[in-house]
Amino acid sequence: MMVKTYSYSAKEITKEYWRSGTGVTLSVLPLLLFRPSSVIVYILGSFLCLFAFYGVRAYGRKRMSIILGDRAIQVTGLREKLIQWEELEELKLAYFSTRRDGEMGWMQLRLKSRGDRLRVESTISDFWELVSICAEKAREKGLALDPATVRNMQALGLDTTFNDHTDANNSEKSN
Amino acid sequence: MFSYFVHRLLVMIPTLLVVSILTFVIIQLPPGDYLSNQLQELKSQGESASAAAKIAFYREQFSLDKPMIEQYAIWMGFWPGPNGFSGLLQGDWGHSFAYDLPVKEVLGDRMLLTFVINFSTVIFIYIVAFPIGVYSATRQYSIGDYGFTLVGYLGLATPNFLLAMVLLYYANFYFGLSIGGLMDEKYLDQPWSFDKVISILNHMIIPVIVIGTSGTAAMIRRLRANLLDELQKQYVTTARAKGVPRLKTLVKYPIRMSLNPFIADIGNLLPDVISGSVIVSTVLSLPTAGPMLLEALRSQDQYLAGSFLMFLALLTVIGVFVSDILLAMLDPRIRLTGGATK
Repeated sequence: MMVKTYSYSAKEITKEYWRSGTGVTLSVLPLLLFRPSSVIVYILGSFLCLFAFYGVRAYGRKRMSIILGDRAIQVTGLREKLIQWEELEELKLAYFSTRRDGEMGWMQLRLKSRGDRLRVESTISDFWELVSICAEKAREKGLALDPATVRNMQALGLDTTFNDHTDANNSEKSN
Repeated sequence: MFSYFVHRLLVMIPTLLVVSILTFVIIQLPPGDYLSNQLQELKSQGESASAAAKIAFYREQFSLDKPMIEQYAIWMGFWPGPNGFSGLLQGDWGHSFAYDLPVKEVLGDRMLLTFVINFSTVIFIYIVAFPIGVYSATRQYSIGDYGFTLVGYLGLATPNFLLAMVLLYYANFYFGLSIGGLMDEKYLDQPWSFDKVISILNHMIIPVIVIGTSGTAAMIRRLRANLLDELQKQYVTTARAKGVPRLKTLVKYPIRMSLNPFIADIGNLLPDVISGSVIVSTVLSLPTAGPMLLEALRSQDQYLAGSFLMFLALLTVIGVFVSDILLAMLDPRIRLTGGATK
């Protein structure tokens, strides 16, 4: 397999900056203008930290690249991470949406090895390809997938037929 | 997950703002207000001069003579009123005209008692519904399942206030439990003590059963249906075929997935914890906040009703937020009708 690099697009990063900026503004303005009670100050203060951290994380994503190779998946940027395929212990694919109808959501791929955890969101370039390669590696390792991951992979059009056997096998092994 | 949390929080803040506007507008919609009603009443009693002066003072003091948008801004604490910035943001819930006291003082212990009684009800619902729901699903069409189903239908079909009256009679006649109220009369204006707490616990048995019965029945039905759906899935069949123990097969995923209604209900339960069971509270003479809200709405005590409704809306929004976060953690499945995401 060739080494391939994935990164978050400038458009997605800009959206995250906007969200962070909106959140920071909505938290700071009441604090500065309306002299709120101490309870509200604590609440808005924690919101402020949260949105500021989200902005910092967006900056981290801007600098981040994910390098997918034959032996490992590696994250470069502000925080470097490396997961060797042979040490892969868990693969999860989650779907999140803030809308009641479940539309307009996004996915998050979570990989875990003994030493590291890695999270990639579907706003990254070529997410489908990234997930399919990771799923293939999980299949080779014989990892169990939870029902949510299976459902989400099916929604992406990925083959999940190996799950039924591995899931039951793993349950048996842990007995 | 962190992204989801931030997205959800960003949706929550404008939602609260819109809810606050709607609450205030709805409170203002009926013609007249508490003070003009009082004025009419006092005029009919021939006390027009002093009453009019007092009411004019109140109007000025609480900015009722200002345009609605300004009143809203002052109520929320976005705009300085006669006492400077003094609104919900600053922790000032306003003034109750009917009680002539700050709203905070009027609600006082009632909010705590309401919370205790309804929170106990929620716990009761969960503790009773969970094992019965699991039993009914895993022993489908057994005598026990039929029995619980029948009891469930009865619970759903019986009006709470009727059940309250029946239980009141039997509880007093056969078990000597006190009727009505949330504590013995001698503790009514006493400070908190161990005996008072025991008295409250004794009085809570009937209300908790009455308020919780229909909720328990509904929860059992939903949990049973969800778990049955889950138990028929391929992965459960495979696990069973592979010889995985029955209990482990059940606990590993199906029960987790069927917990969704429990979690999704948090959004509705939180406001119910404060406002719910108004009729039952009236029938059982419980000093909870529900009947007070009803009276505030009837008498157009706008700050009491408005702050109360805003608090309920806040609890609803927080409840839905918490349940959404928990659901996303527990079961982050795609629920689209078709197609993949970006």
